[in-house]
Amino acid sequence: MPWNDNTGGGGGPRGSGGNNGQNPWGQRPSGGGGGGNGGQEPPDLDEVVRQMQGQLRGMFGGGGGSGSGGAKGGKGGGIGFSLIIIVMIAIWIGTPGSGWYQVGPNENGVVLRFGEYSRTSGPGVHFKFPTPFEQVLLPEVTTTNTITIGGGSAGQMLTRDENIVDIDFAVQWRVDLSYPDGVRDYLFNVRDPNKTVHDVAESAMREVIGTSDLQFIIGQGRGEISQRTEELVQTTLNEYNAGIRVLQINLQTAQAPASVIDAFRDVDVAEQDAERARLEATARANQVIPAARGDAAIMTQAAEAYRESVIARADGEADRFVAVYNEYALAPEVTRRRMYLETMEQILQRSELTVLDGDAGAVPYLPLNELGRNRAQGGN
Amino acid sequence: MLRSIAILILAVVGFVGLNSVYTVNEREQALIVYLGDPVDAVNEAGDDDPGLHFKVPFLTEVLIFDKRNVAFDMDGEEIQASDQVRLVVDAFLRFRITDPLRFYQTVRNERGAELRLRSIMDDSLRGVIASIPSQDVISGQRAELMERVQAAVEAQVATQSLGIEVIDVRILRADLPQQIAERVFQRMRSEREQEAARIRAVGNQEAAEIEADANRQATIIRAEAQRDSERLRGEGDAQRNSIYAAAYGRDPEFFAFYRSMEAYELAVDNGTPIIIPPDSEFFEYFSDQDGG
Repeated sequence: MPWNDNTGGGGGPRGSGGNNGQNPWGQRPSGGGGGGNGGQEPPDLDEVVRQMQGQLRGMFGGGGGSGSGGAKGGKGGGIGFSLIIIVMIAIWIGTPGSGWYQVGPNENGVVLRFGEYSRTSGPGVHFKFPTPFEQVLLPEVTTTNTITIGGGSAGQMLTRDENIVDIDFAVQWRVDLSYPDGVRDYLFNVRDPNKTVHDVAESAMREVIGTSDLQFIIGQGRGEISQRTEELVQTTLNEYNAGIRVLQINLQTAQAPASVIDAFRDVDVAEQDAERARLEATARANQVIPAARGDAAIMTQAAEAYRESVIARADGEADRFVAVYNEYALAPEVTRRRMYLETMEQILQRSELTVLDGDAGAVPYLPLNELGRNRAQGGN
Repeated sequence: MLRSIAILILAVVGFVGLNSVYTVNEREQALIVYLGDPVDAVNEAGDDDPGLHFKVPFLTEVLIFDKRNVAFDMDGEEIQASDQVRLVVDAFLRFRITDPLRFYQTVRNERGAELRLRSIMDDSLRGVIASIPSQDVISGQRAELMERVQAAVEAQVATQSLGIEVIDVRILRADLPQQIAERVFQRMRSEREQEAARIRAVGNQEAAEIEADANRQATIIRAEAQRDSERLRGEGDAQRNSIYAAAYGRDPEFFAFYRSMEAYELAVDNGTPIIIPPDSEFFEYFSDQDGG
């Protein structure tokens, strides 16, 4: 656009450039209908005048009737010339963005008249004074812009406890339409809004990360960090009157840097190892104690059995003795004798009995071996 | 001929007319230089007047400056903090041209302004950071640090009367240089390794405690069972003795006899050789019917 290409030091938009003295819409339509003709060679003035003379004669002289012989040819040239002018004006007005403009569904049309804000229009087709009188800007006001920041060494940030953390995050923003002048602020107050959001967001994130500890950042603090960064970014942009609303800050990555992440993962593994050791020990404990209880039950039951059996046996023996004794007490002598004899009878019956007179003179020969053999045979 | 003169006049009037107007965009401000002498600023901050303006043709130059909030970036400077630690500091500054005349007189254009701002920023950053320990630069008082740098920059911009307003100074990175970062990584690694080792050791310790406790309980359970069973056995034995004593105590002499009989019967197996003299009690009547 010819009206805002002039930055500092280059001279005014109309201050220099001699061909602007020409009728601006007399140039080819490719000149944009305005003053963008700096590269063209200035046409020779005499020739222009001569041409115009003929053309004007055709235009005005046709009605005036000069009657000269040259008028015929001049008239034909005049029709052509006016046609060209009409077509040029039509092109000038009809070109999109010149005499009319279309605002897309996600856009606003902001019209500047001689560079001064004039009006804002919504989606649809609108008319305006053609360029260069009015100019239209079509910012995408409802489009959500996303900037991703981080990745590689750019995403490495220092934490408060002097660790380094890898951060990737995305900022979503769009033009702030919550107040009437939002679009104007967005268009006129800050140069390069995208870069501005990028810089401000990175600075804010580094500030927030710098006041947080590593474990918090990579752990439960993610939401809070996004939240605090978002507030900081929005506050700063509001101070700039940037006309920008931050919709969301998305902390995509917050983890230990690649070169140390193995050590971080090993801590998780160690926690699992420790838990496993505890579980295994508990499992063993759960075996050892019941086993001991089982052993204890066996021991006490055996002892109980011993006690009961010993008592029972003693009771039995005692009862038997008492029974025998009671009989004995009735006739002690006879019973005693009978018992003795019965017992001896029993014993001697089954034993190898040898009756030997101890008063014999000679030492008796006792064939113990033979006795044994007999006994063995007798046993069979 | 008359017509051509008329056209020429028309062209000249158009040319002069176009040369006596200029426009200033909402985003811009203009400095009007008349015969090399800056005479007026148009649409500068605080005096918003965009749109179409008139000027003396040909003799007046219109210089256009940006009116917006503009960024100026400072790339990674190594700066020493008060504890001699060197930090890599990235910063950016946001400024706006507020006085086009001063701006034009001191720095002419944005490139000139950037040269000046670079040295001012450099000065201010070094000055402020040199008085703060690196820890505070990195974390603690970042916001305060940025305010101090901004104040220092603003002071210098004012004394040099650059015709700009410093809107904001923000520190992007305040990092340790790469070789120190490597050391940080090493420290992080060894911290994590220590932590992992500690967690494993605690796990093993707790496992050992659990097991030792179980073993203790098991041993005690067994010992108590042993104790109880000895007691039970003792009880049994004691009761047996008292039962025997009660029964046998009625006639100890008979008990001796009775028990001996029983014992003989049990003690002598089949075929046991027994030598008995004929005058023994058993054979009392063997050789003498009246008895021994």
